Amino acid sequence: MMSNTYSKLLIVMLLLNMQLSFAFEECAEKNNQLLKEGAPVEYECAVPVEIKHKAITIVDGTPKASIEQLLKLRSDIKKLREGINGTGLIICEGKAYTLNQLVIAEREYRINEKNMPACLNDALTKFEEDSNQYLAQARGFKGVMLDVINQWAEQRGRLDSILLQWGSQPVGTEHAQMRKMITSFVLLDRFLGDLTCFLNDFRFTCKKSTKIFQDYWVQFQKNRK
Amino acid sequence: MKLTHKYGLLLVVFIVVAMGSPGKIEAEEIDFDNIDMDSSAFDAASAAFKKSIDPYFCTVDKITDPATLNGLSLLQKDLYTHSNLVVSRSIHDMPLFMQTNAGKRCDYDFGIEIDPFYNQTKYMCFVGSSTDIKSYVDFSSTGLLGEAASKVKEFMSDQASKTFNIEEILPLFSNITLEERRAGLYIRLSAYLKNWTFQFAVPVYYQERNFFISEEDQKKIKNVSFLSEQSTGMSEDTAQAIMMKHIVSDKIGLGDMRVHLLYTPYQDDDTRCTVGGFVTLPTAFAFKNGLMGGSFYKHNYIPPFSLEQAFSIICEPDQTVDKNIAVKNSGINYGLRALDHLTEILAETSLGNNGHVGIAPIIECDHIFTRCDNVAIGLAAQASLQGFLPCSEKRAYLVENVPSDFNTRNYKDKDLAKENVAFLDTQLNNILFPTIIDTRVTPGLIFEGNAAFHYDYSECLKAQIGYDFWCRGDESIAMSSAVNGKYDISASKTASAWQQKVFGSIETYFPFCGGDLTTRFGGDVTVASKNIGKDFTVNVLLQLSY
Repeated sequence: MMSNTYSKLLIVMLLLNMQLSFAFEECAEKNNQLLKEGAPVEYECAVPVEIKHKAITIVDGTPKASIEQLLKLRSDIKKLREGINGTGLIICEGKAYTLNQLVIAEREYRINEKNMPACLNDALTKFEEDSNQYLAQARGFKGVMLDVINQWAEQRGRLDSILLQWGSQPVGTEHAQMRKMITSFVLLDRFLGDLTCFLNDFRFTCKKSTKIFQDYWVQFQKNRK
Repeated sequence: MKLTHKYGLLLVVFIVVAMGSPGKIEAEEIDFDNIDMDSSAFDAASAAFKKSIDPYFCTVDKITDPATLNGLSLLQKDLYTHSNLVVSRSIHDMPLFMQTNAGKRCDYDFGIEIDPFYNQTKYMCFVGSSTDIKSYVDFSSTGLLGEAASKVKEFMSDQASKTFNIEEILPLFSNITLEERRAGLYIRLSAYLKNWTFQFAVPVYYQERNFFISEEDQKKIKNVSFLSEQSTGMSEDTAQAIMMKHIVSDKIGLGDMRVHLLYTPYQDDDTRCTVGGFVTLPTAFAFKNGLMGGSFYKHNYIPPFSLEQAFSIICEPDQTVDKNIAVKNSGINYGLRALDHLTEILAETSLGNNGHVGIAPIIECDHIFTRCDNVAIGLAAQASLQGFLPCSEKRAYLVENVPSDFNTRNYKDKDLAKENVAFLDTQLNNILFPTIIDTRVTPGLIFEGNAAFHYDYSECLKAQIGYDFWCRGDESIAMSSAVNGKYDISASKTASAWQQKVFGSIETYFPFCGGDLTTRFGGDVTVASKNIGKDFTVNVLLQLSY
């Protein structure tokens, strides 16, 4: 009886550990693959860090740091890059691609060079539509937010990030300037990777906003069920 | 026993599984990494969040929270250390205009004198003998501005804070000085009747006061990154034009009238003595204010701007671009009004003696102690003591801080948020806007004495050089007991002051149209002073006597 129980438990433990190791191996493999492919940013950012900028305490808990807004943008970016459930796809040469697929296609010269600008334009337009609401939220506090991004870039070792250049553009000209700066899918992907990483770290640093959202979200999920 | 053992093992398994679970943050109840924020979830969350925000409470919380701005200590600091007027000497009291020459012109019946003059004080005294604004406004690192700047630095990234070197920026502003220029005509009508002399004198002039930053400091300010043209988006010319309207006060008009009545009881070839008195009447008024600078008058207007409005940029859930612009504009208006208020207190001044009637006895003596051919050398001396009648003046007062008012409030109570914001608004206004109150003021007595050696050649040329001493006593301020404890009266009192000058002139006389035309070029310069700026005057006299 006892040995039976132990055996079952042992099996459970082994299975769980195996599952975990498989998950880790799979993740590491995917990570290595993507590192080779030139889109490593979000994997470097798997563990969020606290942005050491006191100005965040001013916006924390206010509409300037609303978590739902931030998560919405992050979800939209994820859809654009990975095309979850067929959403966020970019039409290029009559076919629908995710951004990740376009990055590979671009590197392997599978898309006609002449058609590239139009495809990139489509992707950028999608991002602009997604980010408009978030940019509108940052207005009036942009100087501080740029300084926060600077601090984040320093902590993350991303001082060459397009995100910094994007943030430093005058209000209302961000999109136009972004189109000048982002001339390939790899650059767009890196930019979105940086932005996702920043959003995650910003969310992690905003403890009050996170708490407000957590309380709401738990209740919201319960009501949904 | 068996059961316990079994449950113990299960517990171990759970712990192992829980510890091995990757990507989880222990304190979080939900998995942020995998939240799919679709539109409906976002709209619902957004609506709930907006509903939970009270802009008033958010404002109070951000200001008072020790982990955030911790602004209560800031709001208990003073910006102004004083609110007194700066001491300036009346145009009538300039030594060359004090000389009446009564009795000397007994040959004539009537005289008209027009003196174009220019008087300039490069460094007026703010408090005591200090000519830097830091004695009046606290620019120290422990003062309101210093601590606010340090706080701003705290809220910057490491990189940005390196370029925001507040220790170097504040002293650039703390050395601001106040200048005064007066230019116009001193008009004097004289009537002579035997030993009696009547004189009516009034200046018509342009008066300008401005704050001044040295060229060197201006260059340094231009090099400060956040004040640069690139950061402010304002060209140097535009910034200067705006500043002219806020830091320069100027006007043109009529000054007070001085009426002399003098009697010369003794006069011979060598000696002349005159006694009498003069009255200074408050006739001053401006024909036009704000010719090159701004037009100011002392008042308590504060533009509608509250901390709740300022914090709406972060606390208002439905903040729009237009609302942001409106807040920014209101903030700029509020700041400029605070600057205007400083200019009103320090640079706005009447063309006369603030409405006070002055009454003074005066004595003059002139003695020639050597004559040789056509040359005579003598000494002329004069002394007067002027008292003033009290009258109401607009004076600025600093509100005394009461720490218990701050400490007894409950800033965490949402129901009191609106009231707390109103309280904090009042404190901010008290800091930036000293209260203007109509106050009954009796200026201190003014004593003036001067003596000059003069050299006369053949009654057609006269040169003189002299020394002048002017001093003014303490003023007295009468405040009603109702407001006495609320304001810092001592900080608003203008200090006593004295000034020593040397002066000189060269005069020539010509026969002109049946009378005599006197022309004179003269001037004075301050050699020593206390609590009053060092000024100089140049003037040209044109006098026609019949």
